[in-house]
Parts: sequence; structure tokens; C-alpha cells
Amino acid sequence: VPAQLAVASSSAEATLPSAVVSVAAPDAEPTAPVSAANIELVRPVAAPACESYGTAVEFLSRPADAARQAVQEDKLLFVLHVSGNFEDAKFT
Amino acid sequence: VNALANAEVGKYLNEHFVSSFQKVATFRIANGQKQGGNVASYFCTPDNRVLHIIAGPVDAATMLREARWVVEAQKLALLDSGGDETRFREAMRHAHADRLRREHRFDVAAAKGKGRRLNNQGRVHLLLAAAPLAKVEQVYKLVFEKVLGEQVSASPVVEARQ
Repeated sequence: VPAQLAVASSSAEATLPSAVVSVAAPDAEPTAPVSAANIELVRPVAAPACESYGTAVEFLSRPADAARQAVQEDKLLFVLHVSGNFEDAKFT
Repeated sequence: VNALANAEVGKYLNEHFVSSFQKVATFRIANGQKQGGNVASYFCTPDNRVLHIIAGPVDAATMLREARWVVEAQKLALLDSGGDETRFREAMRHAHADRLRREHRFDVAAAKGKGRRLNNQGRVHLLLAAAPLAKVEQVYKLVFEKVLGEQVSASPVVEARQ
């Protein structure tokens, strides 16, 4: 609260600001009508992409991403340790 | 990996787990035949502490049974522990020791069954009864090399020339 507006406890009177400063309004531009076309939505941070690699299970390729997501979604973590490249059925 | 193509397994895992994978070893392809290679499935808390492991490939029914067991076992352990870390660890130790006793006739507490040759799942229960909630990085070499008999390696898959 600005000092000038504070109520003095002894006199129970409010004092007004000593000056009134006028502030120019910004140059007003004619505003375009609001439509879906001119609303830019804030994009959410992209979640790591899931892939199933020919299975019925959705996998994140990085265990660290999976761990983060498990915390967010209050789930457990399932990590497959494989020989070869899981992404390529020929090499798994 | 074939078990993971099963729709029921997929539905259950997607509902209860966030899944990922890690290459930890390699294999050779000679004359079109795969030599070596294996898989270990880890069921963990979000901070990478191991609740359960399936060592080696299994069918869909086994994958589903083990996934359901670990979900229920950890829920019961959470209930029993009342949020206490030490009691949660003890409850998971007890869960593995119990399966070891019932399914593999190996009693950790009484040291009964000592000398008995355990299969891969028996070894997993023994490991997790001895070291419940170990971090994945603390046990994965042991699981891949001592339980599955594979060498941990970052080498690429080698296709042998004919």
C-alpha cells in the first residue's frame, strides 16, 4: 500500500497522493476480430514418442524418459534388457 | 519378446507400467542362425529399484502372471509398510522368499534346500530375497552373466561371413 494512502492509526484519516500522473494509453491499433485462425495456441512440451516395435506394448526408447513418465503417471517401470537391437526384429 | 505381442499382456503392461528397453549384450548370426543372445525383463519402481525380474524368454501366460504378481505384491507391501521404506523392503524380501519356498522348495531362513539346483526363476527369487529393491544397475550384470550365462557387451550384432 503506498504510504500516501495508508490510514494513519492516530488520526484515522487517509491522505491522498500528492500528485496525479496521467499515463498515456498505448496507441490503439484496430484489433482484428477474434477467430480460430488468429489464435496461436501455446504448444505443450512434446512427450517422448512411444513405439511398439511389433509388440502390443508401448515403449519409450530411453529408460530415463520412461522413469520420468512413470513418476508423472504413478505407474511402475518395465525395462527389457536385450541382446542386440530391440528396434530391429532381425537383431533381437 | 513374443509374449509382448500378446494383446492381453500389452493391455496389462500399458495400464500398469511405463516400458522401455536397453541393449546390454550382443549375439552372432552364422549361416542365418542366431547364436547366443537373451532377454531379462525388469519390473521396477519409478526410481529403478527392482521389484521382480523374469530371466529369459517366457510365454504370454507366464509374462502376464508375473506382471500381475508384482503389481499385487508391491501394493500389499505398500499397505503393510505404511509408507516406511525399511518395512517396504522387508515386505518385498518376504514376498520373494515365500515364492522361493513354495515353488522351489528352498527356505532362505532355515537354509533348507541348500545345494538344490535352482532354475533361472528360482535364482531370481533368491537374488531378490537377498537384495530386495536393489537398483537395476547393481544387479543387471549378475542377472545377464550369472543367471542367463551371457556376456554383457556393448558390441554390435555380428553377422559371420559364410
